[in-house]
Amino acid sequence: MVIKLTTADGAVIKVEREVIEQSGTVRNILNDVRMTDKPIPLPNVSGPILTKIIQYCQHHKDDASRRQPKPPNYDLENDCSETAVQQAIAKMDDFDRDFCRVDQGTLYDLLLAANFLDIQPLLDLVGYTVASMMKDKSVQEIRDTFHIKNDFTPEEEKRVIKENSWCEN
Amino acid sequence: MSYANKRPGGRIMPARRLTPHVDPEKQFEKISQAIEEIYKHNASQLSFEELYRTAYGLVLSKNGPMLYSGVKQVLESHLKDRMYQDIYPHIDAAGGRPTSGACEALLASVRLLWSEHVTAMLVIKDVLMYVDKVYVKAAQLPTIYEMGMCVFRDQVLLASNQLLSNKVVDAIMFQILHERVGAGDVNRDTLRGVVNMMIELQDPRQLRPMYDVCVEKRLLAETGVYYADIARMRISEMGAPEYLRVAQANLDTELERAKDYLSPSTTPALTNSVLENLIEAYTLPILKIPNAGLIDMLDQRDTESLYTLYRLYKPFHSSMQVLRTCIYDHTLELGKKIMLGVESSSENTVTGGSPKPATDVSGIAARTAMALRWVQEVLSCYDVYDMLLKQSFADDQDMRNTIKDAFIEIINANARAPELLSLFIDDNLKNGLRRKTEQEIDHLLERCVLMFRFLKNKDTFEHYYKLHLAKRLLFGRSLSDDSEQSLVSKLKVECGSQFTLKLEGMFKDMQLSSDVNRELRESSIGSDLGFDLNVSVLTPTFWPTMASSGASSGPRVIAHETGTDNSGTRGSGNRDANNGTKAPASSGILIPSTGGISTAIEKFTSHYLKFHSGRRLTWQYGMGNADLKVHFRSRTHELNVSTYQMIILMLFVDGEQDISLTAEQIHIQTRIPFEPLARHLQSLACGKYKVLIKTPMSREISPSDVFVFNSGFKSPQYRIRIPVISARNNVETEQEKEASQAAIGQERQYVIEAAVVRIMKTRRQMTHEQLVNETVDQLSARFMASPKMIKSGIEKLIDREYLQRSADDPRLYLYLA
Repeated sequence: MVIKLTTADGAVIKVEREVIEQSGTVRNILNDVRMTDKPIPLPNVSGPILTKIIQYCQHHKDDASRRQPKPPNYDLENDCSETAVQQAIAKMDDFDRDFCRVDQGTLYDLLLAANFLDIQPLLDLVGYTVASMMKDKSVQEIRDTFHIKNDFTPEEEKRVIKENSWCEN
Repeated sequence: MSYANKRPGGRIMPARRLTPHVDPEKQFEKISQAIEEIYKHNASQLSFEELYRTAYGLVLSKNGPMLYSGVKQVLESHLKDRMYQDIYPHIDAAGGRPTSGACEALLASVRLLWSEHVTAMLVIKDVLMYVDKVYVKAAQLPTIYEMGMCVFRDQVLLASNQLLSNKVVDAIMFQILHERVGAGDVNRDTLRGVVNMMIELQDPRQLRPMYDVCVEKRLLAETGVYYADIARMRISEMGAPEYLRVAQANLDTELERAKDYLSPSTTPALTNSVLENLIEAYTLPILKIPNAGLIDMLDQRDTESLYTLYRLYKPFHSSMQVLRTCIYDHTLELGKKIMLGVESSSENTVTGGSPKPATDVSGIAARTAMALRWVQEVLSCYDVYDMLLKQSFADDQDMRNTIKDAFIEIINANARAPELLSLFIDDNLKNGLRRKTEQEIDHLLERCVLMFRFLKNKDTFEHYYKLHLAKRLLFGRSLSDDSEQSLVSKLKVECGSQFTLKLEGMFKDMQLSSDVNRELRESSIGSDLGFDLNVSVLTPTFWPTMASSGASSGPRVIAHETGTDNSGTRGSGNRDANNGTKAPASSGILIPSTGGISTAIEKFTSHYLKFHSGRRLTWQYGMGNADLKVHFRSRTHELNVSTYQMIILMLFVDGEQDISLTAEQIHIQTRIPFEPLARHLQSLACGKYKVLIKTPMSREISPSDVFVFNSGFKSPQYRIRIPVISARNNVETEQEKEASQAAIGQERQYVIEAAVVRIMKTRRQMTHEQLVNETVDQLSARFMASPKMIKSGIEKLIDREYLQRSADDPRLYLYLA
């Protein structure tokens, strides 16, 4: 059946239920709320982002791994473990890599939306992408890449460098 | 949110702030109100998505802690209010002298609050799912749902020093008691709901469900007290069958209740409590209830009650032991009663203690009948217990062993048991099987073998069985060869082939003899004889020595004859009673040459020796029988008589009428020893069919008694059998018994010595105790060896230099190779 979603900019997007149920949040809402024809409002997700996410879900809707019936409540993910992440990385195909070739702004929007909508694989994917942007960069380089302001005082900065010098080599 | 800012060259733009600055307090207010609405069952009015987003926003803006503790407070105050509103009014009513209605009201109100709370919490948990996923996990707090449960427990049940919790448990206990005494129905749904609540809530200190800590403990204690009281009352009022039945019913009810509204984890402990108080505490008293206890149940064959008894006692090892002991004792009692019953009625027919002469027919026959009765009764008793075992005791192995032990005791308490069993089998194989189906026969033989297994002195049994079997075979008394064979093969299974070797040898001899006889009949010699001659050729090692024949031992083969004499004997014609002895080392009996009998014997002997040279035949006339056509004045009869009887009768065959002979004369002319002669004369003259007339008419035979052929003899039947007393297998007289015991004792001595030598050969050296124990052990399959006999055996072996005493240690024996 078809679910209707309303985005932040007021657009109404239709999507198949089984596609969007990859989102834990939507699944939860659908379980708890009586089925009416009213669309589900998602005011903190914009239209384009939602569309992109739906593309992702569409592509991955047949992934067997998603078919595990996990109760969303007690599903405190332990996927911080190395192996789980590595598994996810191994499963990434070309679609996924293309999917992530977007600018930083979009990446962050995707990240936040994936978090809100509780789509773990997407979260992993984007998170991995961002993480790899950080890899093998010096402190200053990372600041430049992500436009992070240096709010250390010089003394603080010296102290932090000294404390962490053991892992610099 | 749009790609408008994207510049060519792929320059990365800073991230945008997505969550607007909103006042957290206001946000929380939304959540708080929503919770209230949820409790009021107005959840459908809310926008789930909005609440979710609100919570999400709060967590993202680092307001997770505030949100979490805020929600907790909302729940607490809500529940407190509800408590005072809905539940406290019932507490007072249910305190003091409660009624079932008041308890029900209290429990129902608690249950209602609980189920509402659970429903609400499920919704709240979903709304706050993001909080669970992110904040709770990071802060390592209980999930929203768990928190909600704890709030309920702390605010509702454990508040005011556990006031409500105690009241609830009290109410539950009251309701259960109410149900138990049958005062009325209780609402099980309510109880079930409340119990489930207790199961789901965890005790704060012990990490176990509150059910375990509060409810179960009380329940088990109260159950114990309740049933202890009941048991005390019942034990003095009810008989065992009723007590057991009611106990079983109680147990079933309790289990059903537990299944319905208690936790399954309680079931084993509950069962235990009920059974301990009703049954285990009264293990012995139940069995010993006068006129309605174990003994009565056994005697009345009350299989149902016994089965209930068994089932209820089974969980308690010690109770089962008590039960088994009681059954053992009772069985022994029964055995003793059987013995006494049989002995007392046999005492009535046998007077005094002096040894009875062999000719006291009635005494011996009566005693034999008693003996048979003893065996029959013991077997019937065993059958009853076997049935009880199957129907009431579920074939329990320990019980089976107990009964087996009891029967072993009973059987071996009767010193004559081996002899009596053999007689019993003998009687059945001769007569008793006639009217039984094959199944019954098989069952009976099985039982006999079973009893045999219980015998301690199996070699005694073998001795008697051989004796009785020999008589059966030789006189053709056995009803069914199949049954004989089947019994022997069953014995073989029991004891090994060594035991049955001789018995099988006897059968083989009979088989071979019939072959020889057939051969003879078909040959020229046979047709010349003028009558049918059947000779049974026996190998002495297999066959027991028959004292009655008076033959000498020695030769390897003994023959006895049965013959059909077709010679018409008239009371006329003078014939010499020749010296008809023929075979070497014969018994010395004078065989009349009339009728071609001695010729026949000669011819058979020579024929046989042609094929089996190197053997010697010794004729045993005491065991044979003959069919004689005798012409009396009125008609001719065919008489089936023993060989001796035939020989005696033929003395009266002569042309002259009225040959009269004294017993002494008969003795001289036939050379039959006096003792068997007397028996045979008795049977001819004093029995039912008086073929000879005796003067005087007494039963006793003295040498001067005069005998005359009774030509006026009349009988409706053409063919008459004239039985001789010795042909029947009877209980032995004292003398006979002593003779048997001596023979068996001798046999045992040999066996003991052989066993001792065998043991010493392998062990080389042993102490006296060791040797005795080992010997007793090895021989236990055949008989109970007494240490005295073993000691004397050892002495003899030392004399014969098989063993010697060690020089250092007088208790040590050494084997001399």
